[in-house]
Amino acid sequence: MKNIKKIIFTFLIFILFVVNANAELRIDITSGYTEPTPIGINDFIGTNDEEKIVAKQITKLVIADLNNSGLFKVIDPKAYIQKITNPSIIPKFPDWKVINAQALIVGSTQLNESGNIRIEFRLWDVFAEQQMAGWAFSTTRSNWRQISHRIADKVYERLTGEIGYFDTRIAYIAESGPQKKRIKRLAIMDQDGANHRFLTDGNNLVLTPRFSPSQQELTYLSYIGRIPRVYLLDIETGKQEIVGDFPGMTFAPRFSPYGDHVIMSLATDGNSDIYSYNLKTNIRKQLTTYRGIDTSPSYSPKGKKIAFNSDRGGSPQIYVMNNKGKKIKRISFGKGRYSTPVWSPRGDYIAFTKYFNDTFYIGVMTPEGKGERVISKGFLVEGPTWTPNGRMIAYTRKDYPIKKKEGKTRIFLIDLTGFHEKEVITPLEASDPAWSPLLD
Amino acid sequence: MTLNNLIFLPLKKEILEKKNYLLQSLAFHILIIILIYYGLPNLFRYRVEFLPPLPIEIINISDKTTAPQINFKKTPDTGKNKTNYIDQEDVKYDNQIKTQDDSSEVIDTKEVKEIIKKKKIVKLKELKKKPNQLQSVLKSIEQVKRDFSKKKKNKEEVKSEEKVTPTNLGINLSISEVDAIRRHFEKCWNIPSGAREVGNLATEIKVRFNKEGNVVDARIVDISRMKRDRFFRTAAESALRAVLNPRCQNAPLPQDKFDKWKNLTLNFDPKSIIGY
Amino acid sequence: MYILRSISVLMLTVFLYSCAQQGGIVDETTGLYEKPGMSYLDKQMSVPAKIYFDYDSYLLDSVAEGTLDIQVTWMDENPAKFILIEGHCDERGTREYNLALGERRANSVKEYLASMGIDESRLNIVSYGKERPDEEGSHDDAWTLNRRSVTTLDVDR
Repeated sequence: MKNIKKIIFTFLIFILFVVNANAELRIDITSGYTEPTPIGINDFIGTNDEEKIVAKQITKLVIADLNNSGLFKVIDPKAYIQKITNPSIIPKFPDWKVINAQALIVGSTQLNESGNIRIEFRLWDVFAEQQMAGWAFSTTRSNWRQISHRIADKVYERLTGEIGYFDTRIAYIAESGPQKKRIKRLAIMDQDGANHRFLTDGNNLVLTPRFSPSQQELTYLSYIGRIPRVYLLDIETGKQEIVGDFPGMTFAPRFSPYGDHVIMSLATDGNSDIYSYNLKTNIRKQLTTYRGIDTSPSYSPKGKKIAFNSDRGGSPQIYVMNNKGKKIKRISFGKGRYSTPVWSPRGDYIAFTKYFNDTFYIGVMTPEGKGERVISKGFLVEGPTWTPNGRMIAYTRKDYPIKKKEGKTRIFLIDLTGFHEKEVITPLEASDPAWSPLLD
Repeated sequence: MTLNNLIFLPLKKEILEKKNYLLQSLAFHILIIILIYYGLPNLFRYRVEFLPPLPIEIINISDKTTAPQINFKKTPDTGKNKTNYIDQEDVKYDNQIKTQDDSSEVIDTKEVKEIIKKKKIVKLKELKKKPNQLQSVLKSIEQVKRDFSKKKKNKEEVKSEEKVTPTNLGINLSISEVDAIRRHFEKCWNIPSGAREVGNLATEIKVRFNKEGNVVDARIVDISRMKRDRFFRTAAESALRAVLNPRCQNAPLPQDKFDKWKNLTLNFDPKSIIGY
Repeated sequence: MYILRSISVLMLTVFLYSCAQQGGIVDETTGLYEKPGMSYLDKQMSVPAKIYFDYDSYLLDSVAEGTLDIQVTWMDENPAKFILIEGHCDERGTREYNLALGERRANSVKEYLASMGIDESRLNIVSYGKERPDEEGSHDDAWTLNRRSVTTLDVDR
């Protein structure tokens, strides 16, 4: 026994020695820089003239998408040293390292007789000198825009780990005319501004459109017959129908995550409450009873909870309740007036509008009300909407007046970190943006 | 006037007469208030808000940091002198042994008995030592350690005899050297911002350098996590790219400590930036 | 020559039309008589149609009540007229909250008029939130004039 002890003890001490002697130096690196990742996109290769035209269109769109996300910087093709004309070869990595491309996209376009396009492309890790991923897509030629967005989505997803948002649309209110007699029309377009069209004629005031999860419908407020009510619009057919038969003004509508309910406010006798309306059974359910203002309801991603705006505490603040109207809890406690809560599709944040000290802010906080952060501010910013990956927020921005002349109203897009704010270009002035969900 | 007399004068009288008691009572009251104020815990303490902990690095301070180079070139003569000295001692010892042998022949039988007794006493002493065998093991290990370190020092002394310069006194990298390496790779690390706060996204990269400070091989340690956590994969790939970035060749690594840095583990931790 | 004549005819017509209104113009959508800066329920322009509110408030102050009292008298004198009360806000609030606040303002007026004896079935309300400002401009003077409730003739009834 004692001998064994001796042996073990000696052994342990010996090990200690060995380990100490070979301990590798470990250095912590806790800072770096944040800049858009520089990447190279080689023109998608086509073998004949037709293919080359399509390839050029697609390349251009992919470059635009990735640049606009603010997370990538596509290096100017003029700086490329290697011009790849064969999609199957392994790139000459030193040529790409020299221009500091951290990733490289090489693809090819094929047109077949039936008019379908087939795209194959690879994503290369330049510094590690290996292929990261490869994909192939095919669709009809007229759908070339959608395929370009899908390509950008795949690259975005592989490099950031986030879901892409490029194959989506924005619905919004197009504004024109003098402020006293503003003409407002429902409009829809691809997220990059393409395929723009108006959905209403401007004869009736329309406000706050929101997408259904299927992307087929919009719900919004319209003053048809000078009575403000919530409507549904079928985007393809243009057919409008009123939602429910309520004894007063309905407004602030949103779809539930599974598209079976519309949640909204009903205002009667100086009191507004939140109601949920079942589109199949036409049964409506009152969710709040406080005599005051309860509005701007927004479901959580799984539909279990609802965030809303209420003045029951004396000033407009944000509250969260379950989808039955119970367990109401206030979550905004900072200085200022909080409204328009919108739950992120990732479920991790609620975006809101805040008004304090004559300035408007767009901010985010956790669903428990912690970690409040302001990401944009201005003379008038309001009405945030999330991209379906929960990474960016679009909102309405009105500029400061110049010499008593009112500023323009436009839609802006900003990253969750508060960086990369940019305007979403629209033909007229614009407000109330709603970003479509992703199609599964 | 009468009101004054009715109320104030009797009050005055009362206070003056019972002055003693009033003062005592007042004193006790004040004492108790003081005790309560300082003695009892303050229940209305402000809620202390804890700021997120700042990332603290444990800096490996080597025994001696780099001092400016001063050359103390010792002549090789001193080394030779040392060895000569040792030889002389050995020689002396041999002589002593010889003299002892000479004297042993003259021993009587009486002295032989005494010698036997002495041997017995020595044996007893040895027996007493046995129960503490562990101690003896420890002692022997300590002896080994001492011998080992002595040997090390001997080796180094031999080395240093050629050129005794203060730069060779440090065993590990100094703070400034580690800092230089850190700053070198920081400038190549493009951190993916705005990623979802999914906890610890720190990535360990094992790097092998050649003598010029160029990266010969680099690999991400936690490969299995790369497959199941796509946010970690993004962070890890960005760290790997920082190491492989051609702009980060020729890392500022001290030539003479090549053994210490030829294999490094770089831990890229974006926690101060991600999770805003 | 021809053009000149038609233009002058046009101008005369317009002039006469406006004269006939005794210096005011009728707004087709509200049935109110408009003079620059003020709106009235009656042709004689003695019954003001608008009352004003404090920021984020739907309470009636004494000036507002005074104006509403005049309106009550006019409504009693014109029992066949149906009334549509509009509620408005200034732009310093979010769109949906202002729709709700506008409704509260209109409702305040309706409740006051009803309490003064006007039959509720004659009174309808509508909120325009911040969509129909009276005064353009992004400054205090404009905002004060936009936080209002307008009593109009319900032209649909």
